[in-house]
Amino acid sequence: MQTRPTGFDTFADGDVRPLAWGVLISFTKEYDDDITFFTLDTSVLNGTDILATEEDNPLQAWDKYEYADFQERLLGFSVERELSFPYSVVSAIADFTLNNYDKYFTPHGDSPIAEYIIPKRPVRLLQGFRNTTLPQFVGLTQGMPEVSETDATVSFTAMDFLTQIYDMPIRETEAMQNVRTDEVLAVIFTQFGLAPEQYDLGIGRNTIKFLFFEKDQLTAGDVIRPLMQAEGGMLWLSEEGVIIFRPRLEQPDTSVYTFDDDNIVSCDVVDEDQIINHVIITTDVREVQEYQTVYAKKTSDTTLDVVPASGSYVFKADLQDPLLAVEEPVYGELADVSWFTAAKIDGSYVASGVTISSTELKTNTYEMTIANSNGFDVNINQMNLWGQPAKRISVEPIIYENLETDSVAKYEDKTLEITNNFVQDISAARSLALTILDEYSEYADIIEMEVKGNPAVQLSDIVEVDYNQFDGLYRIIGIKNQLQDSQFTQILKCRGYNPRDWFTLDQSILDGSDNLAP
Amino acid sequence: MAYNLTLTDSTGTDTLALTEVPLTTTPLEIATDVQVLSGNLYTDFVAQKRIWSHTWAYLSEDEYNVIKGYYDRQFTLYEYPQLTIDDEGVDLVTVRMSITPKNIIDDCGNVQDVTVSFRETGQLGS
Repeated sequence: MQTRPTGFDTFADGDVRPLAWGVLISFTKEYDDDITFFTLDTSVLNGTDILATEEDNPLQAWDKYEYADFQERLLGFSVERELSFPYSVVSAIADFTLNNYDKYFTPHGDSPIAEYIIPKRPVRLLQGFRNTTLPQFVGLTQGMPEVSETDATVSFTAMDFLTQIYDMPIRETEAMQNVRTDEVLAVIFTQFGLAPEQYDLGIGRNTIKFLFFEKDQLTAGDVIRPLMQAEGGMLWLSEEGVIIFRPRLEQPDTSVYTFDDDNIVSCDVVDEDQIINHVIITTDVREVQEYQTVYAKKTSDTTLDVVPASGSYVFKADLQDPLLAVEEPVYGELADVSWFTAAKIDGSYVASGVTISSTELKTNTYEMTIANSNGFDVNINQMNLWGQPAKRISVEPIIYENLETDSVAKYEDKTLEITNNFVQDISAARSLALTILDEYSEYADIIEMEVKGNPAVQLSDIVEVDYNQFDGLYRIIGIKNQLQDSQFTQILKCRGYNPRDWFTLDQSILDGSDNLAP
Repeated sequence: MAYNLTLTDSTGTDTLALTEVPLTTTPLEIATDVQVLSGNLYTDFVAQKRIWSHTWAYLSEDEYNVIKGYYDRQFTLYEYPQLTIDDEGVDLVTVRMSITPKNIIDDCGNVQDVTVSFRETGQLGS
């Protein structure tokens, strides 16, 4: 649950609840000069700005925008979050409608903000009681608004900032070895200018022996989604705007709120079983090798790589495997280093004047810009690259399979197939599979409740339900908060939850009740 | 006690004497009652507003035009008028104004049974 002031829950639980809300939009995307911690050099009117903050500042990047308050114009909003089964990155989507009686939000009209009615406008939505509102959503508008001339309204859809990051191309090429999920996430978020205060990452359980991603070739989502699948954890942008990562097994075990017949409006069982009793994991693992020759062009190779007189040339070395590291070549034939030589077009050796001015490691190539200060053309006749390749450890992909036979006997075979190269050994595959089977091989109620909502309730909270046969702990796997027609409606999708006490070194008792973690 | 009703917008102010009764004030709840599974209720409350209405049995053409002018200017000035009712504690309250059809009853243009309603609101964008 979100942190809230004393008395907030009294209003939430009260007979008469004075609703309060906020709609803040930064159409101009101008910065609030009172907030001074940003590097103000990356704002693009039509772009997605994720700006870096200085250390020790609790404000989020999205706080920097200067927001206008449209609370008086709000006709209704809804914010929806749902965990996708069985683990996921979570996106939040918000829809909201504003009064547009004076065409203030109509694009291309006479409105003073007409030129700013364009996609990707920062939005914050808040909900609460009386004088206290809690954040519900932080994100950017999607597309153009839907303007209704007949109703004099305008409707916007917005996605959270994390979803925006998924669609953005990776900005820097990275090669990493033996890194945990949280370490990779931190590297990616750093690329997008996020400071450590803007994310809260638990310690991942999955370690990746080798990981390589090339800038502009993948989106952040292309890396993060399989990363999270291999981890079996959860990644989401909280209502407050903090990116949160929780690894598998790191789940809360105590209830934060209770729902009974005095605060449940309706309760139904959802027709979803979410049973997995058979897991098949396929992975194609690479392991980083010792330094070795990873590319060689010999004098016998007749391919010409000519560097013109007083000019430069980009030499592209094709790689068989991605590299964790490669040494920059030096001129002249040497052992155990990267080196290259050049010859005149007639084949005579060139002694000097040929240098490497820049290099770039890509997924399949290593590109070197070679400068020639001589007054004649030269051919790069030898090139030997010394690096650490990441080679496949087997010709065929590794396949790991596990089955919960009792569950199969009861519910038939419910197979989950995972193909993910971030699961990099049998031990990691077994751990992931056992975690999934532990949570999903037995039936658990999935219920959907409309409740007397509390805006502080969050996705993944554990709540206690006490109504007829629905009795026990449930985990919130979907939440929709809606403000419409003078009513705050909260719809919770919950799955029966069986808290597990995983064995913790130096805390748990040997042969005690705690379970050995997969 | 004589009640006077004063209307104000950006073009000026006019006071209309209420020579007849009643002047009706209706409370308006902007709220929703929700029934939970136990059968109990709770109320999501946004605001309380008021609606004032009054019927003039007869108005002269000029008197009618003054009132109708405030009604029409809601849609030309794009703003609501403000209402003041002496002795009722209503002082420059922004109102959404509505008016019943015009019934001309003689060649002088006198109008019969003119009911005007004022729904308390706020001025958006102000």
